[in-house]
Amino acid sequence: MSDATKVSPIEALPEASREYGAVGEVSEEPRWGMAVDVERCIGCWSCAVICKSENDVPLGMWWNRILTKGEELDTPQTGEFGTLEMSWVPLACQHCDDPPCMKVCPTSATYVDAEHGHLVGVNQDDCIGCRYCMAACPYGVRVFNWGEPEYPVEGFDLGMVEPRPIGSVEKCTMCIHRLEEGQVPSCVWSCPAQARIFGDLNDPESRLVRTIEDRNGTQLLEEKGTKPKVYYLEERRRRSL
Amino acid sequence: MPITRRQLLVGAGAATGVAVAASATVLADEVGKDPVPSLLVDDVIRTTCSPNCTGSCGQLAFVRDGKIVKIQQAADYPDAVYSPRGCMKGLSYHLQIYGPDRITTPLIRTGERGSGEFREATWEEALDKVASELKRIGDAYGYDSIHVFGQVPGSGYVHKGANYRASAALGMTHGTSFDYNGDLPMAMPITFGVQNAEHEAKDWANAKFLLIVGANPIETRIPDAHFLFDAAANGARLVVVDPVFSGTASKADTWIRLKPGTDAAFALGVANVILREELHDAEYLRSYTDAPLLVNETTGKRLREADLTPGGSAERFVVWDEGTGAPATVGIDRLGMPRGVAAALTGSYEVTLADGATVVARPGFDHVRVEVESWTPERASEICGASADIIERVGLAYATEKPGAILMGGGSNHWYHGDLIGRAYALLAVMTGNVGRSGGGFSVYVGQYKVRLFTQPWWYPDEIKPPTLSTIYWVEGRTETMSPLAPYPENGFKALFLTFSNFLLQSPNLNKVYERLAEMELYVVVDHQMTETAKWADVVLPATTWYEKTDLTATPLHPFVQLQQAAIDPVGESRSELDIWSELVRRIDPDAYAAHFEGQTEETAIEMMLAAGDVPGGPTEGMTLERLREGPVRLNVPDPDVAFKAQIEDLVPFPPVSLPAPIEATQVFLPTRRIELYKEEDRFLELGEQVVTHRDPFDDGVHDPAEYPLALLSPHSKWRIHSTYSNNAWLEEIHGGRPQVLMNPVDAQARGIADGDEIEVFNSRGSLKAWAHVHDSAGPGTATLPEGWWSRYFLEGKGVNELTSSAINPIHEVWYVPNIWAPSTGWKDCRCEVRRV
Amino acid sequence: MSAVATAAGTAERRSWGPIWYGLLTGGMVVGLGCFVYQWINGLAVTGLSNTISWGMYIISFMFLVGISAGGLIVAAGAELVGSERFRSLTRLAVLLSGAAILAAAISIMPDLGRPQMVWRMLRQPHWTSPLIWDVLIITVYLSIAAIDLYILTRPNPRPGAMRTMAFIALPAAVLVHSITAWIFGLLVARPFWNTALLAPMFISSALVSGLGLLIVTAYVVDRTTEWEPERGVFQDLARLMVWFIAVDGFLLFAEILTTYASRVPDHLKQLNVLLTGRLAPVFWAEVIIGVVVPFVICASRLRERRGWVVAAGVLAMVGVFGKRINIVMTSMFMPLVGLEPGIPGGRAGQEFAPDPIYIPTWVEMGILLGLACFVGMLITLGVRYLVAPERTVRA
Repeated sequence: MSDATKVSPIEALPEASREYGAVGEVSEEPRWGMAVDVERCIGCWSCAVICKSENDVPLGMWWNRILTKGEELDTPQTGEFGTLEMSWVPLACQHCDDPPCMKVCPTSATYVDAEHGHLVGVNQDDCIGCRYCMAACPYGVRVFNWGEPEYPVEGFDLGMVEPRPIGSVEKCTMCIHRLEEGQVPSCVWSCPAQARIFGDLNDPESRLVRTIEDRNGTQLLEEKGTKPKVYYLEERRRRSL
Repeated sequence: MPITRRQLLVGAGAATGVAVAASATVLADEVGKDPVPSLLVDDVIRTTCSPNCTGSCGQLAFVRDGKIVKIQQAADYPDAVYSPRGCMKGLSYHLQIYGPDRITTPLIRTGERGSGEFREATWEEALDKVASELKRIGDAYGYDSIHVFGQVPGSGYVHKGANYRASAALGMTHGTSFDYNGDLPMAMPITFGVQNAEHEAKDWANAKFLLIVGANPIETRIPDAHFLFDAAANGARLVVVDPVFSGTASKADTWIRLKPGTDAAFALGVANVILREELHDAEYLRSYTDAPLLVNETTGKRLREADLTPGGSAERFVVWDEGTGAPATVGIDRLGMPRGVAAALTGSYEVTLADGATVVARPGFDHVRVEVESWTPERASEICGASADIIERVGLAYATEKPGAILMGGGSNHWYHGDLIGRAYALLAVMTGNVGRSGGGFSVYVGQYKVRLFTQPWWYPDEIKPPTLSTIYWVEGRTETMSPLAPYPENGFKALFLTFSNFLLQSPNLNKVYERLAEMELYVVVDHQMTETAKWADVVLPATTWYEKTDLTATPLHPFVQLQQAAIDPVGESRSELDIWSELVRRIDPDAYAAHFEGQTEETAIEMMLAAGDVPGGPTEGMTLERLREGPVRLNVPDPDVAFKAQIEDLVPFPPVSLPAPIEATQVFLPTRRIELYKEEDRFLELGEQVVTHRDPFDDGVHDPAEYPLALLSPHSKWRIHSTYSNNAWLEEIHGGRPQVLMNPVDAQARGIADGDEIEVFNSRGSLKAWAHVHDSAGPGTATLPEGWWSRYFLEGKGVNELTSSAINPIHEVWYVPNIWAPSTGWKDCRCEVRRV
Repeated sequence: MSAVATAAGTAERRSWGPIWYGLLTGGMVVGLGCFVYQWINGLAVTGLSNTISWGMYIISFMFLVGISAGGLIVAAGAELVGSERFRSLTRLAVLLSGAAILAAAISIMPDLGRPQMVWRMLRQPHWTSPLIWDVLIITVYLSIAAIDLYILTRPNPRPGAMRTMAFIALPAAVLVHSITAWIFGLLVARPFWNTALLAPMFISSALVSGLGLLIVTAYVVDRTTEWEPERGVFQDLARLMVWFIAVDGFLLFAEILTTYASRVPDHLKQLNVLLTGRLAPVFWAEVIIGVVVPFVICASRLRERRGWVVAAGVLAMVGVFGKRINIVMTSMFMPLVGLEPGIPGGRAGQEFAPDPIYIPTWVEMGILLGLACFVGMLITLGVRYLVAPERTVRA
């Protein structure tokens, strides 16, 4: 198929699918945020895999990963009272409002994009690969192209974004390329457990804000003052027999 | 040196100054960059992911330059609670479409079987060879000596149906997968007269109490797992019963650790509590079950009107009317009790027969009562390992927090006595009146077996049915207790033809399977990846995946029919099953080809099947191919789709039909046309299983627990659908690619095994070498190795199924309706020992 | 000086001079070769990963910055205080500073994933980044060293010029180390680094290692050229070393005590990596070999013997290098979000690393060899032409 007849993957979506992933109404100057429901997260890594797929993330690298609150991957730990327990915490760039990574980047390759929801972006053209941002990120969510990126298929590029050059850093972009066309990030779309909510933190009426308030959403490493825009909804009370 | 030091110093100073000046004169570009929208694509095609997981999830294939560059859920279900479905496996499937293990050309074996030595061949040559061999074998031994086995993945009703159609056309024996896979919950035909009947997944959210037994939906029903959380958000209580602390156990309100294979004892203990507290629903038992029907104490058979009155009907049964103190008869044309009859559920009564003799008779439920009363929580606890206290609490909660749903999985069903286990849980559901109501039920979720529309016109052309024999008989041969209805071929089996099956990895008792394979004169594999199964083939034919063909699919988990649609051209030279069979049949029997395959396409097949059900009340009423092209279309079933609704609400007799079998074939399972808690067939009486009881695992008799102290469990891993995705590069990055055997620290320490050690797992049937994972989450006395790892991931051995058992339970041979009443493999019924390497 | 002695000395110099230059050049070629190899193949050829994303290059950068201070601070300090005793060492000290800081600046290059883009740091410097501050201060510091050397090598140095320079040099030296420390110390993501004591510790370690380098180099130059320091200067340096080690040791002790007493689990975990965990061998070696032994040597009568003082200098430098390893590695081993399975490795086939290890590869060691030889070459050339050229041999 010639390039002239190619279309945007968002436009080419069937109607019902496009409706499913539509961002919906936003305020004048949105602040894009997300809530992850730890109660519903089943540790399936679907969001991690679709992120890898959507963004052509090379082998050995993950922008999004699912941490197990347990002894090892998918292995429980012994709780305070001797019972076994396990849960999962998906982790990707928190798109902090006060990002330490941006402050230390010597070339401003990492920046806060005030015109696009105050997301934290990386311009790989400016990246010199010093990895200072990786040392500065308290969440460890940045990954580096140590070598020439490798992929599981040969002869063609996967995903919906351009690959990044060797020696540059990369991380979750909150699928800004999808937000541009009014669609939620892929991880939000693809969570089979319906555990992710995306929206505008500046809109108090949004489902996102209301849910964070209802469920007393918390932030990771809140005490570090990075002001992440990703909130975690803790599990509600259990009722054992 | 030519440069003076003065020059050196001045030069250095100048350079430094310039650098400082340069950095001071900032000409900074604008920081950041404008976002670039998504890269363009050719098209986005909707299809349905079909690897045999029961998800049946709509997926979008994003195609660029003729290649799939991304897969993402379609999320377009008319019932929004179902969206998005999908999971990490389906989302990474394109790695397999284009992966190194993909077969792209027909292959013909050049070396010994299993050497992996093949040469590429043209389709002409390969088809000619296969066809001529099939014809030779068919002519020499009879076409029924060819065993055609189509596993579930890859296909739907059209292409799997092509297997059936070709078998019918040529008279080949078609195998069975639902029972071979151990997924047939024999408790269902025994108790309810059906193959299986589950509630649609969204109904889980309507429950107030969810008892999940031997199932791990958080890992194995990923697209539906959220309904459990919806239920919890509505105040439901989640109780999980599992020997291992699984992912689902981590979400439970209460997790009960059970000894493997002892669910019947556990459930009977729970039933004991319910009965003792009189929390059971006596009216329900009277109306819908055989509970009040009198059983002749002497013969063990039910009394019929014909026994009491000369000329009476053999199809009317007898109850004891407590109002009149005399027997009354009940017909099978509708459920319920005749008006005014107060049928007894317990007690012992003297009944006069037609010939004047008197016999003692007891209601069927009285037999159940005796059994249940013997299972005090203490006795149950000794067998099953759960405390008597927790058994009490489960009984009280399940019987009062209504509606209560029991969800059973392979962990409880995959036992030689899995039918007893299921009957015990079914008893709980029936006793409490939870069957047939939304939010309740006894649902067994195991396989993607379900025929939900009228496939007969396509599968059985001109109503010709192929001889269909349970594939376990291909392994075991004839048994003494085999049903005479089972069509074992006169000359035995001489050829094996597989589609989308990793037969040589995913069959029980693998070493025996390999022995049988040696007897095959022809072994053909149709698949899309070079598995060990394909490696042993005489001819390998490359198959198209569900991104490269059109098909019609459905699942038990939700009531939507969906299409597979081709997003890309077939990769390499791969072809669909319909194509392959058309060409083979044309070569073998041109008349059969002309009658049944010529001019048939995926579209004609689909329209044929939809049209058959497009009648008032039919399953595909109003459903057309055009509507399906746009998205999922709901079957004509109740909303929510609850099992046995008509029976419970409208008193329609059991059993409902189990497609594709005619109702006559399955009605015989329930002579009373009611839920049967008492079974009067001879074999049940001989084996003492007329009412549910507990039996120790069968393999305990084969492998002495003193020598083989560990129960080998081989559950489903979330990283694979059986063996599909075993070789997926992305998933391997996450889980590490090492088969691990989960053991309890007590067992490990006793054997000097530390976490990560290389170990050997063995019993008399086979052995393997892998790595130990020592953790408390394992039950003591168990070794858990998830099934599906391709052989190449083990240090040694073919895989866990070297050790599993292919034993056949004679109860499963009382009747024979393929995939519906047939021997169901007991994978988990397996003992082993483990030692450090 | 008799002609014979001169001839003998010259002959001595000439005989292993070429070998020395040959080795240094060879080392630099190896380093350059490894750098080019790394530039082409990416940093994948190192032992680094996403969890341990900084390693030997950063460690050697810190070390080189550190050893560049001692000399200059000694020289400047001596100027300011008006001490004559260390006059003879000033030129050498300044040379060492200059060479080390130049090497330090260069040592950042191999650590960059895209060194060809480094000019963007100059075009669009981000002023909130301590790396940019470091670029600035290193440039200033290098200029000071160059200017100092110029002043010192003029036949008629202006009186008071050095003293004026000292006023600038001393704070600059302090700043160089503080800013380098602040590259690490201002990060909330690394509690082990995020301490107010980090800058003082860097300065004190710099003094120890810088002084060590000065001692060692003075000894070698004395033995191989006609240059001679004043009598007894080694003892004086040893006495100075006692103080430097004492302060350095004290800061280390204060840091450990505070962390230990705080009982904050995250901090304790990181501390235990040092005390009893994976880095324990390096840590205790640092303490014993790098702190206790040199301290004892320099505080006791052993310091009267040059050989012992030089040994102390070497050990002190080794100890400080060990300290750099500990500082970087401790924080890298323990990411704040420490849940399994950890951070993805970074390369195909490299899974998640809940328990990452870092083993420098031959490429890294080759580049380090190249850097060391570069410093050596600078020092040797500097000694040859600026410190002890034939015409300025002292009588």
